[in-house]
Amino acid sequence: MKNLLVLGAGTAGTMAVAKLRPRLPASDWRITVVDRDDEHHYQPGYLFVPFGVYDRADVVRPRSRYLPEGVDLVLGEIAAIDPEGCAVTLADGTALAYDELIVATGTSPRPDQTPGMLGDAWRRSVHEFYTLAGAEALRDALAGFAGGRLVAHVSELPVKCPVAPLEFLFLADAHFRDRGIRERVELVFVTPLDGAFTTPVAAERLAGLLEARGIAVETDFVVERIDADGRALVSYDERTVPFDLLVTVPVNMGADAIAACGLGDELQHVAVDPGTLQSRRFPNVFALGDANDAPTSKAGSAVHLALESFVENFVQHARGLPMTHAYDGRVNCFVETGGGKALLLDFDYATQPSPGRYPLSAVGPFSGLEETTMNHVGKMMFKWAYWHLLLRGRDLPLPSGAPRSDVEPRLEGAAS
Amino acid sequence: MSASPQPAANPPGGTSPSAADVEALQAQLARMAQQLDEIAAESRRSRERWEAIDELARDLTPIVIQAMERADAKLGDLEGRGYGEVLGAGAGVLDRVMRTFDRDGVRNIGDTIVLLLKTLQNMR
Repeated sequence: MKNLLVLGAGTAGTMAVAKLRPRLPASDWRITVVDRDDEHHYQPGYLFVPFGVYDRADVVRPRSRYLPEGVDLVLGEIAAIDPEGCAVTLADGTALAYDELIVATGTSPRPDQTPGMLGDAWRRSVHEFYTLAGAEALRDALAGFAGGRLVAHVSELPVKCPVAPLEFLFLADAHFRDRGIRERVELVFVTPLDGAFTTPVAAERLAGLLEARGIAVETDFVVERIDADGRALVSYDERTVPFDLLVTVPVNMGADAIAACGLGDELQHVAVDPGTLQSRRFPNVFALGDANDAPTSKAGSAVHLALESFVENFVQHARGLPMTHAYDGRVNCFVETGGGKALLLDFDYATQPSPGRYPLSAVGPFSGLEETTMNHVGKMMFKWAYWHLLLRGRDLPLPSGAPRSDVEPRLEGAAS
Repeated sequence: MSASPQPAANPPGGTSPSAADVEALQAQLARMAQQLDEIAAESRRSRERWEAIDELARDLTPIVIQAMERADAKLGDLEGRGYGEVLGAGAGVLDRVMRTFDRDGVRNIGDTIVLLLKTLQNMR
């Protein structure tokens, strides 16, 4: 009997075991998942908590409910990973040996990494929405915000769901319009990038949306510290951005145990081959989702799309065969733009987001790089698909292709 | 102090069960336990299906309401701009055509209209 040990029962770990359990004979493979608690969080839902659209009941459910039969869940804090000895030790001293290891411990906001972020102002005038507690505190802060300068800020890349701060601003714009106080609120986006987003085509499109909503953008801003008393962001090149309410995305880092065992980079993300997601150092270690350093967006859809090739590869690997599939880095996401509309981004390691319709090239109903009501419907229905399809290892009832437009252009003067 | 009743070595009026009886009973209990497991699993799956349907309905409700409000606003806007009267008049014209011409007549009208439009296009 071989042991497959999965660290983390979040999006990546849960979907991986749901797909792998039926593919690995129970007589040959024992699958064990480790996580610190029994709370699975639907992290894309955090965005909507500050605006009162979702609450705790929408985004938190028991992890154990979503793990398939034949998978053991062990609750405990990971203390150490020993990739040389093929064992993981938990904080209570439990040792778990493995033949194959999947690291799916995600990445987490680390406000302690930026001087001045944690302190008296934390969750008073300095907020984040990448944790449920943070999103709930921000909901209360927004409700009491009657006007002033609201700054949304990204500390450093990579962060999970890099488009979320922009979505927050679009929703904030709509929120303040609904409350009739938009003219009393100045909205600013502060980013270390030279544009609104990581890929140029999307950056241009999103910059246009920001401009249309009167949201200012401060680019190339690498934060050095937060002056909590003076209520200002301070950059390494000594620029300052004042705020009345700061909504920051702290530095994101992988699990501490990854740094200690030498599997990861300086941000504690596991160094992997971007096609197979196999550790560059240990062939029996893989890293899925936000926990790895693959050069694509850290998003749930990246895991979902990567699993198509990963599961096939892992089954081959488990049989001692060469892995013949490769993840192309594809990610897609609905970007909420406020007012009941959203746009769709879809890209991979090599391809920029493109316009077009999906899944049917002629009629959609979803549209790449275009604000539509149907994209918003897709965004809102994703929560249901996440809990009831994706986490259980079921496929979405949609083709896996990207948005495209292959409708033949109508020729001028053509006979009918 | 009263003496506790002692268990009988054998059931009254009977004999002790044979090893085969015990095995058969154990097998029967194992089958019942397995059936209970299957019932519990099916019950869990049924509950999950119902929860999924219930949640789908709950998630769809605000989206459908929003879509209906938008459609209502759009129709109100079109009505305000006179589309309703135009469409009503158009329906009246269509009704008169239907009452005046048969199927071939309508087809001939269509051909004539297309010819007229092509002539106009060529005049540009």
